Amino acid sequence: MRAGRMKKAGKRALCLLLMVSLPILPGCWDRMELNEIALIRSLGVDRTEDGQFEVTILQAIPLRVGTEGGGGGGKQQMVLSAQGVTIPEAISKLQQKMGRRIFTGHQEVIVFGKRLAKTGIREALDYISRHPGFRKDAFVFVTKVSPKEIFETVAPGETTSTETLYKMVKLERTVNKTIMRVLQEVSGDAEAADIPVVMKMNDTTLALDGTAVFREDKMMDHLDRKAAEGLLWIRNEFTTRIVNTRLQGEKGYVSMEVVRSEIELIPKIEGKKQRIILKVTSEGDVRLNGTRLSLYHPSDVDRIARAMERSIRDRIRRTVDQVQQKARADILGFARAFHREYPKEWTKMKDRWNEQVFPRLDVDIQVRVHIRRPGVTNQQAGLPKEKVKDR
Amino acid sequence: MKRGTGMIERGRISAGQMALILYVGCVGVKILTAPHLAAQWAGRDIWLTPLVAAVSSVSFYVALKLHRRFPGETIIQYSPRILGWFGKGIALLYWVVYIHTCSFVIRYYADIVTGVFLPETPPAVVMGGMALVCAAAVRGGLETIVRSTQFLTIPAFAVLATLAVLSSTEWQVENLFPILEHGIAPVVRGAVNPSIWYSEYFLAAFLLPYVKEQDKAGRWGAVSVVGSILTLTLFDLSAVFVLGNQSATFLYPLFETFRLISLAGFFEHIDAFLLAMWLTIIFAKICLFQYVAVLGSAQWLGLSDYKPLSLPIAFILVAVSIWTAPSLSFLNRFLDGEGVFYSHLVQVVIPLGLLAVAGIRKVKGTREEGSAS
Repeated sequence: MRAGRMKKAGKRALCLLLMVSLPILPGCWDRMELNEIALIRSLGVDRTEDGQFEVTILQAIPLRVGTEGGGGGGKQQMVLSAQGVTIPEAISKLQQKMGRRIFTGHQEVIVFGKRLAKTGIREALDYISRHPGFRKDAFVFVTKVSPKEIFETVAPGETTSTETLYKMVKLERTVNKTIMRVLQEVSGDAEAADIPVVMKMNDTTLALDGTAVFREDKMMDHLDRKAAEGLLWIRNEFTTRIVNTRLQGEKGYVSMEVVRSEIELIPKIEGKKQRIILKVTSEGDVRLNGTRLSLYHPSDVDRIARAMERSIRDRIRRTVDQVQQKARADILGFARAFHREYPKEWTKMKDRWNEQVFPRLDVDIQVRVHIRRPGVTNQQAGLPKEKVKDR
Repeated sequence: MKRGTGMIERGRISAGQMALILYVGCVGVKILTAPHLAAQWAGRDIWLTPLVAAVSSVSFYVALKLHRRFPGETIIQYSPRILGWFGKGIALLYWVVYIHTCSFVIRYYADIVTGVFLPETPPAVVMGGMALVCAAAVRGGLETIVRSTQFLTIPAFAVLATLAVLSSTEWQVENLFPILEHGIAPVVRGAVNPSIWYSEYFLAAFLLPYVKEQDKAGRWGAVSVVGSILTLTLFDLSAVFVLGNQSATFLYPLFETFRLISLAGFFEHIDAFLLAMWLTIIFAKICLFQYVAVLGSAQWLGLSDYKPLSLPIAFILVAVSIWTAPSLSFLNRFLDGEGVFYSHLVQVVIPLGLLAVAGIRKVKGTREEGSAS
């Protein structure tokens, strides 16, 4: 009887204990209310002229419904900068300027300034990857102007400049460079990475401007849009691509939309010589026929395909040459291909890869284009039949 | 010396339940930290480490053999039978070791929660909260623990496996090659850390006496080991596929992997969700260790009931967890190095010694098998 009551009392005490512990279990210390935090959407890191770090943050200000305007920018976002000897110090200085707590859980964009890119982004990468609050899938950009200027460029209709950058990546799908990928590339076989460059066109427009090439953690070269295009072919990262070409002895252009493309890297070591074969196989449809050729004859279609191959080859060649000669940083994935194919030889080449092996590598570009369809017409649209060139 | 205290655990579990809780005890911590420690050594071959590390699950076999000899008794009870007062000392060692090991688990849990999710919350509160909940479960007895484990962890594992599959949108399979570039040695070195968790299959020595279907225990143990190999391999693989050469960079690779999942742009930010899933798993694991510590102490002291000890031992555990290591780096370093000798000495070598001595001295259990009272 008494034992039973004791047991009951114990149970009660336990229940009470559990109830008392309930408020401390959900983590009261770290409770975050939306009106106490500053939602950081973008982070910019740059170096000042005296070698300090300059950190810029873009805070989104969630608008309450009913406030008027807001299209002019500055209303829905706030851009703040601070300088410090290290990045965390600069961030804590920023924190002192703000009433709300910096919260990076929804941060989507990271922009490195050019001076930082030239001197090395390793510290910035370390900070971002070490801090649990940063998402490792934020998109990375490099800019020639300061990150601050980029952040203050708000397109009409967008709430913040982050939105613009984010949508650029999502649409283009070509400059999909997250922090995680940059980390992987910088510490990968080639120790080289490429990060898209964003530039400011005017007060409200941002645009992508090719690619910055990094060797180890320093920016070596800037490939302009045209030169960077070859990268997409080599990496096979694209949604749709238009290739224009001209035929010999014909007026006008022919355009093809590439719908499928495959690339193969075949490394070869023959004695002391290293070669790599780039095999591109593309399929596409004709989108424009500005010549007078009818696409009725397979032979004409083949002629066009050969011309397309040449033009793709030239594009890739331009990129490969620039990366090999100017940047001397293997962002093309050749190192990985060699590592995978020739693990033994790779250990010998590894240390001099970017300086000696890669710039002298023979790159053999082989392109095959298959034109699958002439579009929905094989005739010359808008020409009387007599004027169509017939053999 | 020791009066026959009989069975102070009234509950009975099925062999399958034992397999499940041992499985949770094996993969509990490793699931979130895999393949961090292994990747430093084995690089992209980490997915082979669970297979190598599983050799340590021989400890389960040893526990099984010992239990065959002493049916219905835990190691705390038969160790003094084999070696007299010295055996009593060894039994005490087990008690200390499991408190110590449990402190690692609690410490890992607290470090993840305070290091990633709740930086401002004092670790003691995080640990204390968990230890209290586990103490309540332990008070409920073995059946309560295995039931709650079944109830909580099976869905959690299902969700985690689903997430691992969902991360396939980010997979880059070529990260896997070349396989075994530097031979098997780095893989073996990388298997050191997981092997510590595998050696914990020796906990079966405390569970086997309460298993209803003794004849199935061995088979279910094997199922459990295979299950944990498959689980760890799956998560290791997904880490290699997603993180590539960054597998060794992050302390909680699985967490980083799942953080990168983005399905159609709306299924994102699942990190807190992942913690919630993992919490149930780590709860079960801490419960198991705490139960072993509580039961062991009660049996060692010859008490008639172990329930009153659950709360005091929970407090001891929190204290030990705070003292156990000065920093997370220290803890990781220990569990990737010397810890392997410690855990294997206690969970493989000494039990084998006991088995050998029992064989030589012809000591046998007094109870008939299956007549558990």
